[in-house]
Amino acid sequence: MNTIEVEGLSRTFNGRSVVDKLSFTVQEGEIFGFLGPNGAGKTTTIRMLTGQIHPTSGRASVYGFDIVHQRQQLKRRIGVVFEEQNLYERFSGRENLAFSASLYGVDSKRVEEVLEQVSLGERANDRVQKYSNGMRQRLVIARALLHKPRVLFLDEPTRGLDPIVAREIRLMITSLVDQGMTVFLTTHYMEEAEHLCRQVAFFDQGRIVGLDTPDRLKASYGKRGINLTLLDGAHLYIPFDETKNGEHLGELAASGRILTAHSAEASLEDVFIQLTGRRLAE
Amino acid sequence: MNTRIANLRIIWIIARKDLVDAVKNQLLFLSLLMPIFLWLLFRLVFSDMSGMGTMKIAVHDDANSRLVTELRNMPGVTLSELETEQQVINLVKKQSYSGLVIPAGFDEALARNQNPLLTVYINSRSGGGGIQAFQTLIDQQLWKLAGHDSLPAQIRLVDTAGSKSGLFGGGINMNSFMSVMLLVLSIVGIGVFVVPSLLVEEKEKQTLKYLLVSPAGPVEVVAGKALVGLAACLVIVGSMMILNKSWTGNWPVTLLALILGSLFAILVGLAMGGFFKTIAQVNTWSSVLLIFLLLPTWVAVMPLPDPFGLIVRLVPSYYLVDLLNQSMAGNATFGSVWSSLTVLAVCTVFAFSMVVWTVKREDRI
Repeated sequence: MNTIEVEGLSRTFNGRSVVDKLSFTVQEGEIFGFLGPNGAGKTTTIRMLTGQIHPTSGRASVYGFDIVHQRQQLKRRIGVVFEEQNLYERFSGRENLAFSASLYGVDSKRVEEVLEQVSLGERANDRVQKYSNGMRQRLVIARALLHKPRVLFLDEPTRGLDPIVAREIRLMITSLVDQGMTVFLTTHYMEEAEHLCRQVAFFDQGRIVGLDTPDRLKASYGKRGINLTLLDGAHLYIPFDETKNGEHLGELAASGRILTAHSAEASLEDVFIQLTGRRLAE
Repeated sequence: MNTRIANLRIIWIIARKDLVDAVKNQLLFLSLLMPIFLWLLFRLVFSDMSGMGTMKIAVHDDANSRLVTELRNMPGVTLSELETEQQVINLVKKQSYSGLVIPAGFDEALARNQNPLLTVYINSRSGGGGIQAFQTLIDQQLWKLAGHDSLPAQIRLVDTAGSKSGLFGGGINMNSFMSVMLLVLSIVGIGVFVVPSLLVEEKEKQTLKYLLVSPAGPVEVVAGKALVGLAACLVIVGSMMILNKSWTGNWPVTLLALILGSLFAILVGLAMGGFFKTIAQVNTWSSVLLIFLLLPTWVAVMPLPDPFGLIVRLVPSYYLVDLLNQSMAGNATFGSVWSSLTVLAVCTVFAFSMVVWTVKREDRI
């Protein structure tokens, strides 16, 4: 079942096209990676899909609800983790969640559940001002999960976090998907997309320039072969597409001359560079 | 703007959150209480107005008036009853006395609502607090005697120091002036500072984005802020009115003026909140607007020559000040207040349309 369906979605601001005829689908229970450089239109796409702004043309639905005409129903089925840690700083973690719970009409018991889920139970009564970056991010995620949404939009959820907290967040995302949630993820981090996403879309200048599973994208745009470094310091590339190369590789291995061997498949970063002519971080 | 009916439950949840947040936000909380601090300071400076200390009054009474009987029995009042008006004038000139000349038939004229003349002598060189306390005392006693809230007598104020105009010589009741000024300060301060701050902080901290993907829409967010502003206005202004015992005169007109004035100021604040993006912008423009909207309160003590006098009439708060001045003095009649009420109502409607426009901009989809 398709959870997100997007067809010809476009948005212009003051005559300038920011998102141009996007079309894709996201299946239930998958993590869909939306990758692109700053200013590519990722946040505008999320804002349209979450009902914050209307598209100029095209249509989209999330969990069957039209993003233009069924915004109220849509809002109750989605959770959004913004790029900014937009919390009420003078409130405690628990107060932030209690406020959200009352907005959604959620029972206060659920507040305690999600606080435990993101391991913030012990610090729940501290003001958010005193929270670390990682704690704030976990609280933002807890807030997005409070009303048990079916689709979670995550805008750069691990940006600026230390590696350990970023790993915790990724594990949390994986566990949510295991429970049947659909995740729409924008990220700068290729490894994150590679490890988490079933499908990734490369997005540049308002358009999708590549859309597939990470493995297929890497296979399509990378080389099938192996890079060797020999003991004498020489570097060798052996492609897989010729039968005799297999024999050659076997000989080298048998001779004990190989120092290191690496797959020569493309990374997602390489694929992005090939598709757009520039790096993702530019 | 969303066409759906604003969800009252969500409006209340947002308002409740903002009320709690306002208490936690020390700067905002202090600015809310500022008018009460100013009022207390004013009372401290003019402490004899609250009945502390002795008030010396020279009286010439041709009417054997109950007013004198009342004054005679009041604690803290030293009454010198004199034979002639000239003796009263002399005493007021030489010593820290206030004077009162009651004409024959005063009480009867009062009972017949004939608005009799009462001459009050003051000496502006003897200090403002005592004079204002005296004026307030006389007003209160007259209302008590007449048994209703409109001022039953014409008061001719004469400054024996010869001053023709100014704070203490031109017939201005300092207590009324300060009451009106602090009420307008509270209303305008909450409107142009507190209300836009509530909205702009949501933008600056990006929490507005969260609110707009939650079941709340822009209408609920704006209405929630308006509710907080209105509650703050009613609590602060109501407290000041009670503390200052200002529910006198034509109090229904006072109440109507305060409600209309609060609505106007809150709507102006909401329009500012829709327009500005940062707290720094709000602080800058709020100060300018605050001074601008407080200008009319000073006209009572510093009459401006034309064209400045006419220009001040273009400031909407002028009509709030006019209504409060009239109603609190007990002089308000429908004929005298309808034009100010109309202007204030029109300004409120205009401010509302500005808010609708800014909300549409915020929700431009």
